[in-house]
Amino acid sequence: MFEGIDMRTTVFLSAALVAALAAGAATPAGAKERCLEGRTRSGECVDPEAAQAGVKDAILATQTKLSMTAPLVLPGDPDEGRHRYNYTEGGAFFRSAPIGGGARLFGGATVPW
Amino acid sequence: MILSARWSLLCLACVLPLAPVSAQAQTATLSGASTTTQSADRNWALTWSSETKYLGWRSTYRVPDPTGTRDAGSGAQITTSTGLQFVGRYEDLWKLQVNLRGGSMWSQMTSAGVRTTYSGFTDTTLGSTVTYYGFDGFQPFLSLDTNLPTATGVANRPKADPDLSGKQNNGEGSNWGATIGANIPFDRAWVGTIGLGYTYRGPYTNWNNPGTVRLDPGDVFTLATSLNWKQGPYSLQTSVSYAIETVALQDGQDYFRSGDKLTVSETFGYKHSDTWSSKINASWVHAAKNKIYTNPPPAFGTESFNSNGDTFSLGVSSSWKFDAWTLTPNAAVFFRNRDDYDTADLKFIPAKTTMSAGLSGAYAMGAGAITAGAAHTWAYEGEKIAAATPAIDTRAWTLTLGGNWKF
Repeated sequence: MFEGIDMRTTVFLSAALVAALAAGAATPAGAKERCLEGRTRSGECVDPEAAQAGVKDAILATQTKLSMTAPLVLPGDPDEGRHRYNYTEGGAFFRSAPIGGGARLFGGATVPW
Repeated sequence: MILSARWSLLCLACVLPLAPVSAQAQTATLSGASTTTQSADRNWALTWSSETKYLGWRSTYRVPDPTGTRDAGSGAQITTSTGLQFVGRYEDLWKLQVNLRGGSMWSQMTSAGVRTTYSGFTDTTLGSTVTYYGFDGFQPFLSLDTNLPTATGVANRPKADPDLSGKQNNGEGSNWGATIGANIPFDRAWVGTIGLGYTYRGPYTNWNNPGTVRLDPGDVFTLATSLNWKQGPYSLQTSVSYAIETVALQDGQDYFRSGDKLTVSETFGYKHSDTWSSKINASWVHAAKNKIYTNPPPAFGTESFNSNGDTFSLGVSSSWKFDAWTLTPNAAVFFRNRDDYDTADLKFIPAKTTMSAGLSGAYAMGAGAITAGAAHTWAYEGEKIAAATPAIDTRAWTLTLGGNWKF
């Protein structure tokens, strides 16, 4: 049954098998799946979309008042309005203006009053 | 010899999984990372994106003749925004993401025969986030961000209703933000995130009417948590955040303190097929009473009722892909529940409902895409007590044209 196997093939196969086992044993990290967004405690790859969504949401949620005109996302990002500015509160902030007059915000425009 | 060949193939099958398995997984992993797409052959990616948005509106409110017969208020706003995003990785242990965004804005408003115009740059934001992947079960990140005051003239007017335009003011001062947090993955599909943020908001001169004032807005502390789930065709994101602010100053005097704010939002996505997906999102924001300046300073008075009230928003969209095209019809509803008289500010805060429906599309070209969209919005703000402040009915059209490219 094994008469077709010559010495050269046997040596080659043995060497390859040993090399494969050695590679697996010596560099377990190399055998791991590459995970771009980190691993769970058990070593599984984290779903990249879920991980990225978490970081993005945390930054947007904690920096809602960083800028009124240039949100921390690229133009056209569907999450641009996800954590919107509190416009009612902002209207009260500008409207109160006890010093130097004021401006009122009404449906569609801020106007002098 | 035949058997020798079989053994050789079998042996190759033994050896190959040790190396190429990571390459296969890498491809699968990368294909899902649409927001920071990178080539498997390199550790960096650069994305450019630009969008021009036109907002045209017409409202029944007239100033200074709100109940008269003169022309209704109307206006237009054109905003052009351009952004760059860089994502770089170092040995799969570190990721650096840098965002830069700026633009310009033109805005004009006509009401009761009076026309005012604003034209200039918007502010510019620069943000950077570093994430470390060396721990299993815990991926910390740190984000440092800034708003650079590049707006040419921070005028309080003219501008469109921010509930329609998304812009509260034409610009502001130098703001600095820092967020520290971590992803805590429970398993492959479930990821919890916690973040603690601080935003320093610098002073700026606001061109009010009449005269100018020096505003020093309050700083903001925010604690945010979210739970993200992605499994097969399903995705879910639940986030809760709580923000508190310090006292704002006007010309060096205590002036205003925003009420604490609780935000809860939920997004659910479902991929019906390779070419069809849908998304629904809802949010609720509750803000406590503001404290506002009372005469003489620096005393503060808490609002007799909560002028902030609660806001609710709901949005749905569905995307179809065919060849290089993607079409996304969408609709949204926004509701603000306040309907009281503000004795501190001597005005009535009406309830407000906004509804919109639109269609957006994208045409993919190589590593980029051209995008366009149109939406019609109807906003109704209830009448106030005084005859001089009737109900306001506003209709608006939003048109967008943009593009992006990944290098």
